[in-house]
Amino acid sequence: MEIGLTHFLILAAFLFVCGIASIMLKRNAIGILMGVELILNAANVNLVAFNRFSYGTINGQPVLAGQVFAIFVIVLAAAEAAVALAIFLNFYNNFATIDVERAQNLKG
Amino acid sequence: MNLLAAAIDRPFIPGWADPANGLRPFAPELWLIVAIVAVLIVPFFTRRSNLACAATALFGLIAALLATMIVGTSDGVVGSHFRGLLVVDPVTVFFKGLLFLFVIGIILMWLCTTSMSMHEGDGPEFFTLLLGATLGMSLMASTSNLLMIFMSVELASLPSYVLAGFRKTHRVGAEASLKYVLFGAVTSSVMVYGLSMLYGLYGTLQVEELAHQMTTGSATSVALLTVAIFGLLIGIGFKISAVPFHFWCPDVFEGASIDVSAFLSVASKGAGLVLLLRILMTLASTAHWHNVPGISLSAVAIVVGVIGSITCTVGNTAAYVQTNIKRLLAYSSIAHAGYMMCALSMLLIGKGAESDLKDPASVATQAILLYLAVYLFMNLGAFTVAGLVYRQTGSEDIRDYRGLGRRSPVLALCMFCCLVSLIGLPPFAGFVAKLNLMWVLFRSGGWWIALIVVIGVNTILSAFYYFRVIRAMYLENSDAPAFFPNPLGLAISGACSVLLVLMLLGWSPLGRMTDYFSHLYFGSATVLVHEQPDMSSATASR
Repeated sequence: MEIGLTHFLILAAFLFVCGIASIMLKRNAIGILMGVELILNAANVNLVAFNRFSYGTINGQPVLAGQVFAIFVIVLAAAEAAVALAIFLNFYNNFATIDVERAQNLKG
Repeated sequence: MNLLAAAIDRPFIPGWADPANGLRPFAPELWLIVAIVAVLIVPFFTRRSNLACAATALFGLIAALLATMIVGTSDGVVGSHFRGLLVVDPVTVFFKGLLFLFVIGIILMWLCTTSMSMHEGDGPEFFTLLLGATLGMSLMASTSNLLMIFMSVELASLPSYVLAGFRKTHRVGAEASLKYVLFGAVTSSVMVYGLSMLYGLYGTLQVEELAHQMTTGSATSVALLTVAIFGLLIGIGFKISAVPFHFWCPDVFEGASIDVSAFLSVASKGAGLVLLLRILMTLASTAHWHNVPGISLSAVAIVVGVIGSITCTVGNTAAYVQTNIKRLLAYSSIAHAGYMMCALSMLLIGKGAESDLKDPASVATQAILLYLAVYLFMNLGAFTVAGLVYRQTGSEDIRDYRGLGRRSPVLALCMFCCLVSLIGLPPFAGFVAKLNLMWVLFRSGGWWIALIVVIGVNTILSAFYYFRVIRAMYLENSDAPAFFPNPLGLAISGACSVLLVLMLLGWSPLGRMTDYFSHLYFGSATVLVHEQPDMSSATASR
């Protein structure tokens, strides 16, 4: 059986669902961040697969819009992880935990 | 003056004014970038002085503001540049002008509120983040490319997360930034997933081409298209803090220092609204939506309108029980974003369809721009007064506003003006802004009449909690001592109050100006891809 676009899309959808599940179920801030990374990678798989199978060439010329988008997503995921981890560390310094259920000072 | 204009317009970069690939349309952002670098270098020569950083950032913003005014109104700049990554049109120019003006106001406000408690040496970081977020927001308002939309939303968000928790030893600040970063990361990742679907369905990252493909292309999967559109709406809805993505807003506003809250309340929401406006507008003007297979124009319009009306209702009802002034203003800003979203739903009517308006989209854009301009000054004034009271009493509780009318009459008067304007009562500009918005909705007829009822009921609801603050200031007594607030802060809030009255008196020039900026957008939007519009007559009339 030939591996085609559909397989990649199903893989991406599976990653997306795993990410959402991890965001919904985890109480640990880093667990939630891992869920976010899963969703971003699902988007990357989508972008790269669509580019490879559907929109790879226009008039015989290679077009790499999707691949380039994926690279930008990877870079921004790294930047976001750096900022998020710094904020988690700051939260830990103040609360001695990174359990998001404990963030309950602000309400209403 | 001419020399200054020339210096700001032409920093002697080779190929600067090259119409095809020149950097000239990017000039305002370039000045912001120069300011960011300068803010990082200046402290080495000034013993890490916070004030020197503030002055540098201020100069950079003024240069960016001038560059926006000079470049935005000159020939051959309006249109799309860098293969559509950057779009310059009157709506962009108007919003960027407002944004830079507002951030200048924020820095002045910082000088008289938070600067005293900030550690000497934290200035470079603070202003780098502030200018970085501003850069992201100005790009958000001036792009119609999916990649740039994602990049600019992230560029606006990442510094905002850090700004929210900038006071490192504050427990509430740490909690606010944690909630903000988690919410923001989740919504932006869902947005990217939606964008990847859009790319997959239509094979392009340009919103104009996307709209073109939607009408002319073959039928696509409705399920995937729905996922894509909802992903996009979630990402932008987070920036606007539309229900149900508004939970971060009150927490972040309460936890962050007051200048950051004020910054986020107008700049972040305004940028999100302009981004949504541009996307909906491009889709509506390029594609004949009625023919898009699988999705109907009115369904999307109804979704946006319903989200808008739910947003303002939730904002106003939740504000009623608040005791913290920043939380109250946060819910009020959610409500105001809701009003503007109601007008956004009109963009999708399409010309001549089911309404007696000639061009409903441009009328709606005018209403939103006017509302945004007025909203900026009301919020800046109200937040400045809250900051000054916090500096004096160390409290953000509304109970500590008791007797403010006696303790500091001028400050209380400024707060009164801003709050009455936020309700939307005369003699302040909030009245014309809201009336204009409702009049536009009324003229479009149809189910938009229901939105007027929602806005009207919400105005009455909102009057209760704004008047609670006013009652505390004037009718309740306390034995707290009288004080004279910082003169600069008084000047800012006083200037905002006076401007609100002036904007009501000078309402017709203001209306004409927003009309001018909203109209040209459509003149240029239709020819964006093909040719440069004729701007010479427009610039002559200015």
